[in-house]
Amino acid sequence: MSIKVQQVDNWRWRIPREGNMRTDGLVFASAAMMAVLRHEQALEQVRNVATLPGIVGPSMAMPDIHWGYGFPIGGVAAFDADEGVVSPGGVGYDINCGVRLLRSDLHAAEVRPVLDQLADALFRNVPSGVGSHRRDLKLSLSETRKVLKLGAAWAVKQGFGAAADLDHIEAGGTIPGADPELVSDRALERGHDQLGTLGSGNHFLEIQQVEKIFDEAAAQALGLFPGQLTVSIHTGSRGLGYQVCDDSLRTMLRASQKYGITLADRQLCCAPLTSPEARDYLAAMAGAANFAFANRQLITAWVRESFGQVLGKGPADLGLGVIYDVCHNIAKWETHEVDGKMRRLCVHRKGATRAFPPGHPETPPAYRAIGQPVLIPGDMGRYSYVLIGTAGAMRETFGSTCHGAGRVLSRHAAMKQARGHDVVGELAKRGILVRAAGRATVAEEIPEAYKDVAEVVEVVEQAGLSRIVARLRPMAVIKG
Amino acid sequence: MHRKVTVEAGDSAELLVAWLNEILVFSETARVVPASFSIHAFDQCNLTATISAEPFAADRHTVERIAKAVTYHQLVVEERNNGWYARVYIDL
Repeated sequence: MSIKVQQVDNWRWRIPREGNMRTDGLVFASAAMMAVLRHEQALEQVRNVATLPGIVGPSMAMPDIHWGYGFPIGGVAAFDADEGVVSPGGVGYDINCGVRLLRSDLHAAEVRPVLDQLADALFRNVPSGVGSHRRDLKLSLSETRKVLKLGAAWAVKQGFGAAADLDHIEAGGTIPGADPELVSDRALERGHDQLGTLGSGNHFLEIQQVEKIFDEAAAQALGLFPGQLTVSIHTGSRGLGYQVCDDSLRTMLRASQKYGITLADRQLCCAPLTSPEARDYLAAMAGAANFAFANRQLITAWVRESFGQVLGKGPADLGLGVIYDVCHNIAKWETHEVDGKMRRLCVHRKGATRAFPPGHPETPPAYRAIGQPVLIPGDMGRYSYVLIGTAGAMRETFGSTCHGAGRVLSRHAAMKQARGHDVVGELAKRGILVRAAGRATVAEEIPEAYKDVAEVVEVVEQAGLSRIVARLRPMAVIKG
Repeated sequence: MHRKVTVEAGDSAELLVAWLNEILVFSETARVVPASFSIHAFDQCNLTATISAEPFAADRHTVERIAKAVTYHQLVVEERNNGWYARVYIDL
């Protein structure tokens, strides 16, 4: 299908409302990105989301847009509390997939001589392969239900981290309203021994160094300095979240028929926000999101343990504190100003990150003067970025921005391109150590498989959706 | 190791997703590699089958990639002139 696209300015493209669309589509991208996008399914998916009932504002996509199941990845869509819908496909399978960034009091240069040992310790201490899990963490199903209710706070209560960590997590590490009784036994069965594991695919754990500071004042508020060692954790709710999504899709397929909602793709199935199906999904989704927060909290504890083992330093000397932890697959109840009126909306962010401005009550007090931190991982050969949210994002995108680099090559194409290359050896020559559990993972995740994340963050900065604070260069990457 | 499963769905396309999901979840939760399948009963909306599998052993089974979900994205199951056509996307 050919999609009509009109250029609004250098960074905005409108897909005008037509046919059964209820609103316009709005894509944030450079001209070069759009030239590629025009040949992909993703724009059609932006259009499909615009057909859903009760959508408020345009169906949006961030510059890291690529095709997803049903909704595009990089998609943002807000729905009216009375007229709108919630769609599990608008959140994604990996509920609360997200990124956590840890600062440290270490200089990257002082760690470089023991980087090998650190990478090995992280690979050993943070489970990442098929069926691997920590033998010292065994969860009963009833304890797993507590995780679903409490999120990162459960982990802190068990001694994994400090209460101060919770202050620097989106929603404090606990999405309210989770009901573990609405999470199926099968989801619990899939999840209970996956807590504290990295998972496969694009998930990673990375030791990085702060390569460049773009905004001194903001970097200082975040505790970042040039040459500093940082650690990024990118993972989500594992099999538990996948099962919650799968269970909900079956319910929503029936609900879409029941409420007479026409779907352009089954994966867009949804239910009115006022329906019991929607309430049940949001309560189960909150449980899975909390599981993901707890997951990143446990991994944080094991990162601290690994650094302690290798460097022989205590927590006070390491200073491995949480800068922030963001969700990039989530649907949330939020209040936004629309046409001069405050409205309660269900904002879907699928491969998109919340980017609240300075002064917002949900931004941690320590960052209230600068705005909410936004963590944008790139590919393993280049760099990641730290951004902050802006008033522009609040005005235009329901406080949302991009989430990562976005794939340009399919896994298959990446494999083909990597054939004959010693990817791990080539990265090592550039000073980046890789430890990976799955044989195909490294080939599928080669840097060339992704857009240059610098181009992605340039678009969101130029469009006024975020401001760039710092660039982080990978030193060691642990992959599932 | 064997597991007998019964799945039901609204139509044949959703039945295919439900069936593939049974295999995926069995493989993940029991840590097994599914090897053969016996279909006992099968119509448009119902399927009963036995999955036979062997325990996953890292020294014998090379993990290329892990299937995480069977999706409904652009799902197609339809009868065509020379038989049946199915398209199903699996998340990796």
